[in-house]
Amino acid sequence: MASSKEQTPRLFLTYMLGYLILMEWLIPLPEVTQTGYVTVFMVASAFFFLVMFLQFSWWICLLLFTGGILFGIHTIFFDVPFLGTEWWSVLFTDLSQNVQYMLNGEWYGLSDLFRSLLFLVLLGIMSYLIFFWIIHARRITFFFVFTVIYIAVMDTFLPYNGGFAMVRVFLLGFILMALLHWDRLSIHFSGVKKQKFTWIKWTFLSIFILVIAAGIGMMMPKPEPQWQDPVPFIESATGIDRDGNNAEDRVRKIGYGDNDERLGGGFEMDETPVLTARGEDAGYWRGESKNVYTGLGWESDTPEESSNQSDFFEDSVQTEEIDIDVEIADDRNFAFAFYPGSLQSLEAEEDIELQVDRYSGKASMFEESDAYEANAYTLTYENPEFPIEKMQDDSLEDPEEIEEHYLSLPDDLPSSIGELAEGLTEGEHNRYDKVRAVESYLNGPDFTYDTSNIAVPEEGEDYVEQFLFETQRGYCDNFSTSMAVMLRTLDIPVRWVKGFTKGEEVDRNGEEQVYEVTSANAHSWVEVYFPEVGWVPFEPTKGFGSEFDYTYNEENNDETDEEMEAETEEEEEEEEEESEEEQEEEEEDNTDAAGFNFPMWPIFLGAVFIVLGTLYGLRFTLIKKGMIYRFRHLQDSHSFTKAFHSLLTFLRYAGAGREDGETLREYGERIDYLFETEDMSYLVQEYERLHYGQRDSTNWSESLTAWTNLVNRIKA
Amino acid sequence: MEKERSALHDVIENIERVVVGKREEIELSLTALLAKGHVLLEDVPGVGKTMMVRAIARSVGAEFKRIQFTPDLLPSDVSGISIYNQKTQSFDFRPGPVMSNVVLADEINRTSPKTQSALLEALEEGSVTIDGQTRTLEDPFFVMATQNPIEYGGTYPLPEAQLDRFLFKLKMGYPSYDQELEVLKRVEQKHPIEALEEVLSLEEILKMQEDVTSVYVDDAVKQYIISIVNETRTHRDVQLGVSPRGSISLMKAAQAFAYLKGRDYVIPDDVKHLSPVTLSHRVILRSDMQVVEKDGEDVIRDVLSTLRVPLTKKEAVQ
Repeated sequence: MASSKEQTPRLFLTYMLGYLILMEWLIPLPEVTQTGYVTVFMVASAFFFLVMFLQFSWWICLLLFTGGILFGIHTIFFDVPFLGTEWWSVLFTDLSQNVQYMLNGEWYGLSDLFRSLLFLVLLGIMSYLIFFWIIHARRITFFFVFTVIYIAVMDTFLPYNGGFAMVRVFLLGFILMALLHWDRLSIHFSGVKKQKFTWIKWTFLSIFILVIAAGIGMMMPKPEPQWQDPVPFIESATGIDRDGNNAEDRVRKIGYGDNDERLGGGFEMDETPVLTARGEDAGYWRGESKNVYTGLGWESDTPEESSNQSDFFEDSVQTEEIDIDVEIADDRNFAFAFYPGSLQSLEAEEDIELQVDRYSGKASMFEESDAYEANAYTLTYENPEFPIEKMQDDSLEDPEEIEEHYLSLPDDLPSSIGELAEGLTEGEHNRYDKVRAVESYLNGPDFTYDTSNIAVPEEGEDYVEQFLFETQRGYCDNFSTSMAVMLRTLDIPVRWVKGFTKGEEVDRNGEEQVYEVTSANAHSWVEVYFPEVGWVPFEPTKGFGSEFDYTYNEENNDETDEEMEAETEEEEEEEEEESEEEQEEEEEDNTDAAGFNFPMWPIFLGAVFIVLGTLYGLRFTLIKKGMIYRFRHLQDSHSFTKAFHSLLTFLRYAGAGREDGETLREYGERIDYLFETEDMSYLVQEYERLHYGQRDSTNWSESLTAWTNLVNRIKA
Repeated sequence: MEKERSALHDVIENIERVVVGKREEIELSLTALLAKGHVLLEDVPGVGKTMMVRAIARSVGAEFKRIQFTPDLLPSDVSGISIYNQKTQSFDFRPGPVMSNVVLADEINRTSPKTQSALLEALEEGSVTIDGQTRTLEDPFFVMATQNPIEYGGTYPLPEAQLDRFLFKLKMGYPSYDQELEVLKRVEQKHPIEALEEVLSLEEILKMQEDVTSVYVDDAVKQYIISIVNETRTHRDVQLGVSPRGSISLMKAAQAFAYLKGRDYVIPDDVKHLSPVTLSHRVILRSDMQVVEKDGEDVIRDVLSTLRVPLTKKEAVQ
């Protein structure tokens, strides 16, 4: 490395700019993927960058990096003393479990701790890469361009507003490029370096030009985008039919209706708002559930009993109370409330009475015994977290009341449905695993999510049978009804729920988020009863990520509350992130949602980035190896010529190409001077003898040695 | 091959004992000798032109004559004259200085065009015609003509069209500080030219001249020569480009230079190296170029620096 003491401040400045550009990758994360503790990651990266810059020997670097990573996750997840026995045991339990998950491909099971750990490692590697790019290669274009693409993608496809980030990245990137360019210049024209403070002038000139350019750019009037929003374009280009106007049977508008007795048929998208919600968090908006499947749709036959709050969960479910403000859209009137989780209480302008149906969970509102249609209300709900261990406990019995209402099936239900369900759950020994098996079957590749061209069952045909065995394409009603019916054939009590998905996050104000729910968010799903747990929702519809929290309770209950909280928070964030993707998908009326687990994508992208970056960093080594391998048997004039020409091409790629008007000899001398060898001149002479003198060499092995030496010496 | 090379190397070293720091010019002069060409030296007096020619002549054991061109010099003073011999009652031919192996034609631009053309005929034809009788010149025959670029009063500069009778146009230039110091040291007592010995015989030179013609020139190199010449014809500063005689001269010179370097094949480097001295006096620049003080050499260097040197025949065609 060519860093002398006087250069250090400049190098540090250059490197700092690299750090700031990397930070542009982190900034959108809280908004887009709901990653928490982003400052910890930023501080950790700063630490990595500093360690890299100080250039300790590799083992000290490794030690410091490991320390930084461990302390990073400690700050986020742990409350026990750092590096204590307890600390290690928790860490190792988590690691071993996650490695297990990874080996099994159960990506959704990865804990936040593990993912954060991976992310920190990724940041560490990035700090090394950027160090390499800036200090050694003195080129940053690759990373810069990637950053710009990243922000552009974030801005286009996700709710992140990248306008200012783009301006920042451009400024930082160009200043960095200017500095690095100066660096390269000063290497080639060493005279520049001797003039003191030239680089400061250079820097200020670059900044001045950039600021002027950026300023003009910002003041200029901006025309409307020349391209349409790419999302609809991509849809039309890929043949996704958004309107479904050629539906053959009956086309309804999507939305929330009361009558579910006859399901099926396509529907049109309708984006009219239903409600707007403000609060720390939200979930699927539950309207009501139904319990009787008729073969064509759903009805209710439960007795009318109500209380002033819904009671879906038993004591084993951990819950968190959350308040949320709901505002119903102007032209919508509902005499009942939609709510996430389990409804605790509701307050409106008027003094109203809340009657929550014990069976369907429908929360009707009355004002002095008249049905009341509230325009706005504040509700408190319980946000549950379902214990998986408990749900997997098969020794518990269902209460009679549950069995009575939630297991019925039509007498003429085709037996094929039951057989399919049996087949799917073969090998699963408890209710939870069975439910999961059925759910993942419906989420799987056999089925297609579509809202148009959806058949209505013929006379005498069963709605579920048609979907499962005939059409295999449909929307939430098809998926949820099928899941419910299949589970009932397995004697699992289940009910069909309808409502809305969480809606689109339209604004964000600190902790508070604003969701807008439109008719297009209308949705249905299922709830399965687990003894001592209660009603647990599941999401069978393809393309909709699971919105609900199922957790393993750590066996060592000595984890403190705070830690639990941190974890809960993290997980919630993860859920939100999923749901957001979901909204996007629903909005886009996605017909083919791959079963791609959304929170993994930053890691995936990072991995791709690292692989590309590594390949890029190693490109010279790889090319050299390839060339040397290819010409290992050099023993005639033909292969010598080829080898020589490929050497010339490689040299040109390495930035040392032959110039116009330069003869081979002159070039050979220049190359020899550049790489401190004499091999190129030797090769040139051989080449001349061969081509201008019509001679054959007598000593190919010597040529090969010279050639190999030279190839090995080439560097950018 | 190796023997000839070392012999020529000896010649160069021999000459260098007299002429300090002019290796390049010595090599080029020998190249011209081997290629049966002649050299025009354009420089101010006193930079060692004569000394170099004399050293070359001595080294190869050649007869050396010098013609000082003056305005009143007659053609017969160059080529020779028949004088009536009363004793034998016949005309005896008195050979002029041109009847010699190595001739130094000093300040050729000072004499009348008529006398100049007597010399130039000798250069071109290798023979002179006196009193209707053609007399062949000595073999080898090597002329070094000098021209003073500073004084124009009362001179007859060689017409551009006649300049290409010379294979090379060289410039000597002043020696550097150290070189001049070395010169002073050497001539302090006795001039070293007196002690210079013969290294090569004239027969050997003749044989070498013969060998030079068999030096191999690859098609790629020929194509390189042609593309250089073609470029001079289309160059924006040039009124008249290099003639095909120029391409022939360049190739011959390249053969001789390769031979001098101990190779029996020509490489593009030879061509590139010789192009300025071979071609610069064969282009006629547009008249406004004198204002910006550009000369033929600038044009040739310009062409060389932008023209890609071909590696193979195929590449040359493209």
